[in-house]
Order: sequence, then C-alpha cells, then structure tokens
Amino acid sequence: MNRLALLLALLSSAAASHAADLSIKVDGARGDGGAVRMALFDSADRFLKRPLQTASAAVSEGGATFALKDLPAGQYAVAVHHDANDNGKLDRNMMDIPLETTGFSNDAPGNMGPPAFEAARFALPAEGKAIRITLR
Amino acid sequence: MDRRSFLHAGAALGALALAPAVRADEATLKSFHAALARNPSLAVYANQAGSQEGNAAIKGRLPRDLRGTFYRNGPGRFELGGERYHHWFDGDGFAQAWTVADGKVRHRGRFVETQRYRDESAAGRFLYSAFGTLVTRRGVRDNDTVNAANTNLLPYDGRLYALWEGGSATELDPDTLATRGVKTWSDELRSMPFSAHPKLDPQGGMWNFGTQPGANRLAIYQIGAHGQVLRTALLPAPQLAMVHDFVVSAKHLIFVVPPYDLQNDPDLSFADRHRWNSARPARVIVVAKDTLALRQVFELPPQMVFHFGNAWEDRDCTRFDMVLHEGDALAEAGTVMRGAHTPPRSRTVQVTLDYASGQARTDRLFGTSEFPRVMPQVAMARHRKLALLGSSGASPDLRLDSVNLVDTDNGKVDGYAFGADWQVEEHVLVPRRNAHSETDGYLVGVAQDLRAGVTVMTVFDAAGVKDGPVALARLPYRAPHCFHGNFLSA
Repeated sequence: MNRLALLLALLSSAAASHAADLSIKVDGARGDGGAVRMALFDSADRFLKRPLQTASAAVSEGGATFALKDLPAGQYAVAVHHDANDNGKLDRNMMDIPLETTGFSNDAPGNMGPPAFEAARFALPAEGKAIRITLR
Repeated sequence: MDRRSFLHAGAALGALALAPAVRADEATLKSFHAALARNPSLAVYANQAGSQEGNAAIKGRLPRDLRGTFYRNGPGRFELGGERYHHWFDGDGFAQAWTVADGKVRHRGRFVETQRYRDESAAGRFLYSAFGTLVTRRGVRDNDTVNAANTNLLPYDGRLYALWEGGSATELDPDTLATRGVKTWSDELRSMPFSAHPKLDPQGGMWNFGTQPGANRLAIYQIGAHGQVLRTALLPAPQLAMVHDFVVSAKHLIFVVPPYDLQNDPDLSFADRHRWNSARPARVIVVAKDTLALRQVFELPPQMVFHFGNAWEDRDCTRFDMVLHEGDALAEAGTVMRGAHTPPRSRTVQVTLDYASGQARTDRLFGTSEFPRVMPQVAMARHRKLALLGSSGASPDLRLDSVNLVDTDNGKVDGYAFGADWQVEEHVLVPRRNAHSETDGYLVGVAQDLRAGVTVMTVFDAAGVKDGPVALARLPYRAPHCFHGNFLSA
C-alpha cells in the first residue's frame, strides 16, 4: 500500500468515526434457506414505501447481520423479511397476508399488518447503535 | 419545547398508544357471576378449565346400528386472569368426542391448543383480541395468531379438524383430540380464512369459503376427497361483513351478506365494528359452481343470518332454507357473557330465487329456531326434511328447548320439547347404512339438563321425533355448550 492510499484510508476511517454505524442482528428465521431482506427508512411518509437503503444477506444459523456505515445520526425504522424461497419478494396469500416471516425495529408488533413507523422508530446517535430484530 | 423533551413526549405518547386496552372484562366477569348466583341455568356459559373424560349412564336403549363418534366443538375458556370475554364467540375451542359403541357412550373433552391458547395460558391472562373483546397486550401477526378454533369439529378423510372462520383449520388427533397443528391445504392457502361451515359433497370432496374483515373479498375453495385443493377463486364482494355460513346446491354457491356497516375503528373489537344498518337490504350472492363467477345478486329485507339448511335446483329457480334473525343478532348473541340472555327473534324460511324475475321470495317454515341440518346424503340435492332446534316457550327468554324435524314441502313438524329445565344444542341427522329415506336414521344431539347441571347426549329415531328420545346418555358432569359438530359413523 502506498503512502497516499494509507493516508486516504486513515482519513476515511477518521471521517467514519464521526458518522453513525448501525448494526442489525436478525434472528428467528426458520431454516437456513433463502435470504433476509432489509430496508431502512427515515420517515413515516416513506415507511414501507421508499427505503433509504436496502440490503440482503444469506441466512446463517437462523439469522443474518447487517452493518450499515456512515449514516447521519437521526430517527430510523427497519423492516426485514425472510425471503425463504429466495424469489426476491415477500410472498402473500390471496388475502394479502404475508406467508414469509417479517420483523421490525423495536420488535414492533403489527395488528393484522405492519406496525406504524412511530412504533418501529428508534434514535441512531452519532456514536452508533446495535439493534436486534426477531422474525415472526 | 426543545428537541429532547419533544422526543420524550413522543415516546410517552407511543407508550400510551400501546397500553393495554382491555375493556370492562373485570366488569363482565363480575356481572356474569352475580347473574349466575341468581340463575344457575347460566352455568351453560360458565368457564371451563382443563380436560374432561367420563362414561355416560344410558337411559333407554341405544340403537345397535348407531356406532361411531359424535365430534363437537364450542368455546370453553371465557375467563383468565380475573377477566371475562364479552362475546360468546370469543372463547377458546373445547373439542368434544362422544364415542358410541356396544351400548356404551364415552365422552372426552379437550382444549384445542392454538397459539392463542398456549400463549395466553403461559401468560396467565388474555393477550390477543377475540371476536368481540378488544385486547391489545400483544401484537397480532396474522389471523392465525388469534385463531380460536372454537366453532365446528369436522372429521374428513381420516383426519379431524377444529374449525374457526377467520383463519386456518386446526388438525387434531381423532382419538385423543390432541392438537397436531395448523392445517395448510396448499401453499397458496396458507393462513387463509377457512369458514367453520364447509359443505360436504355426497359425491366426495367439499366446498368452503373464507372472508377477511374489511377486505371485501370472498375466497372460495373446492377441496378433493383426499384434501387436495381442486379450485380456488377470489370474488369481490362490496360492503362485506361477517358471513358465517353458506349453502350449496348442485349448481350454485349461495352467500347471504347481512346489512352491517363495518366501522374502520381500531379501538373496537371485530364484533363491535359491525353496525346494524336497517336501511340496507340483506344481499343474496349467487356464484356458479362451474365457473366460480358471480351469477346474480338478490335482495331481501334487512335481516341477520348465521345458518343455512340445504339448497336445491327447482327448474329455473334455486330453493334453500335458512334461519333469519330480526335486527342485530350478532350483538345479541354475545350478551350471555355478562349473564343476560337476549330472547331470540328468529324464524326459519325457505327462500326461492327466481333468476328470470330477479326476485327472492321467503316462505315461513318454523318460528323461533336455530341450528338447521339435513341428512348428509341429500346435501346439494332435493331434500324434504330439515332438523331444527326450536323454543317451546316454556322459558320466558325463549331458550332453545325443542328438537324438530320439519317437512319443507308442507311445513309439518315432528317435534319433541324437553321443557323449561333444559337447553338443547345442535342435533345432527345420522343415516342408517344404505338409508332409503330422509327419516331412515337418527337425530343425535346434546341437551343440557339445567336443574341437575349435567350434559346429556340424545338419540331420536328420525321417523318419530315426537315419541321422545330412544336413548339418553347422561354424563356425571356438565360439558361446555358447543356450536357445531358431526357424527362419524364407524
């Protein structure tokens, strides 16, 4: 590694230490097949419609972990689902009831549907945060 | 307000919104027990704890050719943690089996161990909303989180299913009644509402339907004799409220939608969201069996319907029988939970649907009544006999106390009244092997002996109901009141 690259790496890690990192540990997946799909939201208006970020991770030992870097400190909500058959979507039955397990930050429960943004909302401080979500 | 205190206030409001919103359950409990102390006959609606098992004492003579198991289901647990449900339809399913063999009758009762039953038993209190009681202590993932499995018990293809109407069937062990788990007919039908009134086709297989609160869609299922899903359909049905039962002819599936407006209010239970609207008609929705498409919609005066008898094609018309209730019978059926029995305002009619004129006509068959059944071999075809419970009027609140076989052609009634100290439950028609008529068999049911506080299985000869029961099988205890059941001949 040359000196310039080293300097850039040091600078970027220094910058990252001032932005917020969010670690999301998802558990409760039945079986090790498929992937966990994650979506991050930053407002009630966009909740479950327009995510700020999305990511996928293969299921391992009944769960998955996501490490999001350099987010502005603020208010967020996370939605995850276990795409057990890896078809890229949340499968639903004829009445639109989800057939694959889902989860939300704060483990916010829904009531015959997803929770409101307010129930899943959490504060991400500048020093970062680690959250857990259980798939149900 | 600075940002920090604003967030704090927001968090506090959030906590308030999630606070337990159980309504008046302690009051319901107190009210019921005060009423029960004055009127012991209300024990029929008392709470059940634990399993039951016992032999019945036989009075009379059990017919030798009546052998099998009478499977029944109804709500058993109404109280937990000092609270009581508001509505009769709320309680956890308590499955019962009366086994009839060699002149003996053995009874067994056991709770269906749904997710709700297990979670609430572990917590020692109600967690989830029931049909008529709003409880928000724990979130609800889907309809099967709150499945009460409390309405019917169906033997089918060697298996046994406890049925509710808002969620999946729950499979039980046919011998022990132990819970095997949620039944998934096929991947696409997972977690779909599966009504408690599937209609068995004498040629094999069954039809059923499901509705989702507020979805305004009616799901239809045709299931084969071995449980395979043959056909499904999803039909739009505007202003759909609770639809509990349907009726099937050779050519049609017929639904009646009562005139309830469904309020979109999350602070009300599902039952309380139903607002009776007598300005709207009851709608008869007719679906063609061959295409699963809507054929025609008829209108009837505003009335509530829970149950149907049977439907048959009569040239260019379809005829069927159903029990009509005046007014908001859904709410009235719930008042027994607080110890107030609301006298039923019901009558059984035969409906004639005339497709050419678009008119639906009703002809009266019987007065105050409920729980219509026909012989299984005439289902979906021409029938002439309808089993009904009635009220003799011996009790001022018109308790159901009589068993009747009504001739649907001429209205003649072959009936027997147990009298004031009895409350009868659904009676089913059981044909003799190779039965040659609709009265060639037995009428089998259950009656509550209110004075002795015990439960009795009844057997009538279908050809002579007025002669009284040929046999009574009396338990040494009271078993919970059931809604529906089926006799599986051995």
